[in-house]
Amino acid sequence: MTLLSVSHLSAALGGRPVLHDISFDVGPGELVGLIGPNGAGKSTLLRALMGLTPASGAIVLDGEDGGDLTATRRALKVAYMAQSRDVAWAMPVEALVALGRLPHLPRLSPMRAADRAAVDAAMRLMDVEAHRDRQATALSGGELARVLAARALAQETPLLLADEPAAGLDPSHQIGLMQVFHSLAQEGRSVVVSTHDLGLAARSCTRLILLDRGRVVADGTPEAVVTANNLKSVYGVEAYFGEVEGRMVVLPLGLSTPSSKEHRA
Amino acid sequence: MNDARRYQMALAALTLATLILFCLSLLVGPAGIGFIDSVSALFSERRDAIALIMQEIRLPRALLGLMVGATLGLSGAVLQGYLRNPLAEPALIGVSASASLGAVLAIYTGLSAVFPPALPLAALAASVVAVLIVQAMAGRRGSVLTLILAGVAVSSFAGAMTSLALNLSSNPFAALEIMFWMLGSLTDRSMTHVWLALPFMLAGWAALLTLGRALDALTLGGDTAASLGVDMRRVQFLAVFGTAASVGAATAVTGAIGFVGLVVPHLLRPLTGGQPSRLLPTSALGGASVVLAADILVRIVAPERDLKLGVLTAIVGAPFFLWLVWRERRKVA
Amino acid sequence: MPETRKGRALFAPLAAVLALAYPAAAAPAPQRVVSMNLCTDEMAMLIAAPGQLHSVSFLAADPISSVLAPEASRYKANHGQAEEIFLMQPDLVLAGTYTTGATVDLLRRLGIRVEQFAPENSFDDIRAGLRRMGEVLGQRQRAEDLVADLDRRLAAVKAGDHDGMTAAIYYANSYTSGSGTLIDDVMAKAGLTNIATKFGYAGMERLPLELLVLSDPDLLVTADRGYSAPALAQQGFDHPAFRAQAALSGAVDLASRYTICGAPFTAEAVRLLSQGADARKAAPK
Repeated sequence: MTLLSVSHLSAALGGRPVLHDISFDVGPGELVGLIGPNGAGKSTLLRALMGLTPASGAIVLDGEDGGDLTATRRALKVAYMAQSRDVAWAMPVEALVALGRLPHLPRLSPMRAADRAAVDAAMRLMDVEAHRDRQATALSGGELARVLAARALAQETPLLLADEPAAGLDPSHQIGLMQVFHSLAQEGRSVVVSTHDLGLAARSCTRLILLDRGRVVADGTPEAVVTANNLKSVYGVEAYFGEVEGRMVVLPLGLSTPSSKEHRA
Repeated sequence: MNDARRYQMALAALTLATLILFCLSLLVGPAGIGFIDSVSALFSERRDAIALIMQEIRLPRALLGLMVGATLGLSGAVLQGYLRNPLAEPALIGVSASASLGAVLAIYTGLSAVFPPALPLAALAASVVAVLIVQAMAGRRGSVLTLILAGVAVSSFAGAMTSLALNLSSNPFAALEIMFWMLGSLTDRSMTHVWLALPFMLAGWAALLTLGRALDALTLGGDTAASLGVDMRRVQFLAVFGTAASVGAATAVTGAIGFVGLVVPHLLRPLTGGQPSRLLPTSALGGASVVLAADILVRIVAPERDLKLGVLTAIVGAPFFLWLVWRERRKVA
Repeated sequence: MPETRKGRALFAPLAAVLALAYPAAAAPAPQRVVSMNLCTDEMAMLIAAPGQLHSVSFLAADPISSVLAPEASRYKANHGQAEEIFLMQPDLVLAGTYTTGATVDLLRRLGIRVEQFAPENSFDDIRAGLRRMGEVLGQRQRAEDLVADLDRRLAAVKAGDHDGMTAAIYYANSYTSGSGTLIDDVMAKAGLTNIATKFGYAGMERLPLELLVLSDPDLLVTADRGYSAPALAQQGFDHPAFRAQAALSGAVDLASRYTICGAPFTAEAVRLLSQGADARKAAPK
């Protein structure tokens, strides 16, 4: 059983091909890290999965063809955290998190008890309850990132796609965020997270997909994907590899020599 | 729940203000008719002078003030929410300028002199044409930027054509009439105008009022809104056509009344906790209050000079807006 | 105003339908007439029987625009607003064809008879306007007397000896009047050729200062140079080129109250122009 199935997905932006023939499946319980250098196509892939960027190929979301889903049905299956954290109006945090309940509300219906409970639970998980009445535009970058994550959690979907949700968070909230995602996965949902933090991805994800110039170059456990070779050929960096309490530790150290970078082509 | 409470208070206060101003608007005029006489005349079956004044002169004026103000406030709130920009206003998508052009052409060709309803009808027709062009340009993908650019282009073109009509008009009387009409006024409008504008405004309001939740979601940007189940193409269609129908009808019967659609939503936003869905009814009531108040002022300040409503809203609105900008600036600093 | 005339012709059938909707009901003479337009004010003041005219517009008392300003004080002033006029309970309202469309419309809805008069663009228009006003007010004889007075005053102007003399009118904002305007006919009746009409201008148009100097009119006519409210529009009168041309040509400043509206007093404008032309002839360049 899979919650997300992608086959032969290709997409172009402004006539330039960005994604080439991408296929993978994500099942319940998986926390997938999407990694790759700038311009590899991580954001475009997530946007294509949401139907925000036109793409060819097939996307199946929780058993239904992505192309056939109405906007509301899609919103009940997938939640999406955009990379942009722009909030247009000075809205209180609680109201902002409550936006996650929109797909669940019948027309003209106010929030019901279950909706309020979901909003409270999401705020508690993301540690933003204290900011409940503050205006979202007055929060710090990290606080806002957590509020936006709570908004996505309040949507209570089986599948969550998050575009660099951990960027700008302090270490404790980075770890906290990944722990929340991890527990969502353990409840039987799927989470796909794009990130540039290789160490964080390797430590917390159950699986990594490495993109380079629009293609999947590696897909598997963190140990299988984050290898010295892959880092050298895709990112052009040398890294320190270690292990702490049975979990992988990776720390990029410096640029690899130009000759080794030639390997990429 | 402090926030919701403040919103309810604001809504109640604005409803009350609108009601009071509506009644005041019915009571102000050269004929010093007492309050009781006015009210009884309003519902009187007899067609005596006071009843005619109340029913045929003051009632349509007050009703149009209410309708036009609500239209401007509501469409301003929707466009600011849809474009995620506090500087958006109904004129942005080219409706006001095109409606003005239609009206000017009706005056210029002499059509309106022969057949009075031709003026609002031509204005409405022109705004429909404009919005079709804007919508076609913005396209199926519903890009906000193309929408604004198309609106600016259509506005500039309509404005230039209006100036051309003024330039080419070798008749100073017609030119003067065009100038006066463009300044916006509610003076001596009749129930014909009300019935002409009402269906378009109701249709426009219905379209705009369904957008509350979609606009809330848009606070987080178009992508997030789409991920929350908002059909962005539908939102654009409803926002553009709702504005066109209601503002087109408003401009058609009263001329262009500026600043209400820009300032009112901006002013009331803090009372709604920044939630666009709450801003819609609030801003509609606020717009109605402002236009009614301005129309009362026009009659009190210079009863004999037929001061134009659009001039007054701009005179009061522009400095007020400067003050708002100044306050924002201080907050940022 | 050629456009408007064209418009009229186009919509003549419509006009006919509307005329049916608002019958002229000529039977008894109206007893309580309210005029809300400067030109109908002046014509009505000249033609109406004592007590027949109740109110005129506030502009009628403005000495700059109105020839009959002193007379206007005998009537109530109105400001052209429906409620105010309705309260006067008139049995006839006189209005112009421009700028008061909504008010006229509303008054008609209220069952008040409104007669609209288009601005006069020639002495023929003036005669027709006076006769129509006479008909509407039930004072045909009075109107005929005024037409005769107008013709007498026009005939008294010796225009014959201005052959080949040209004139240009120059308003604020560099506007001039070409063919189809009252001032053009005034010039013609004074025996002068309007250079704007020679240039092919119709109606009110902008006359570039260069063209004015190039055409070197024998008589340079200005309108209301001494208007009390200052306006940027008047700066054309202070341009050195204009002042030089004014020194070369004969100059006449014509009070616009004689030509804003057409009436027998418009003959006074013809007389003033003719007088200016005579003076110019007596003192050549």
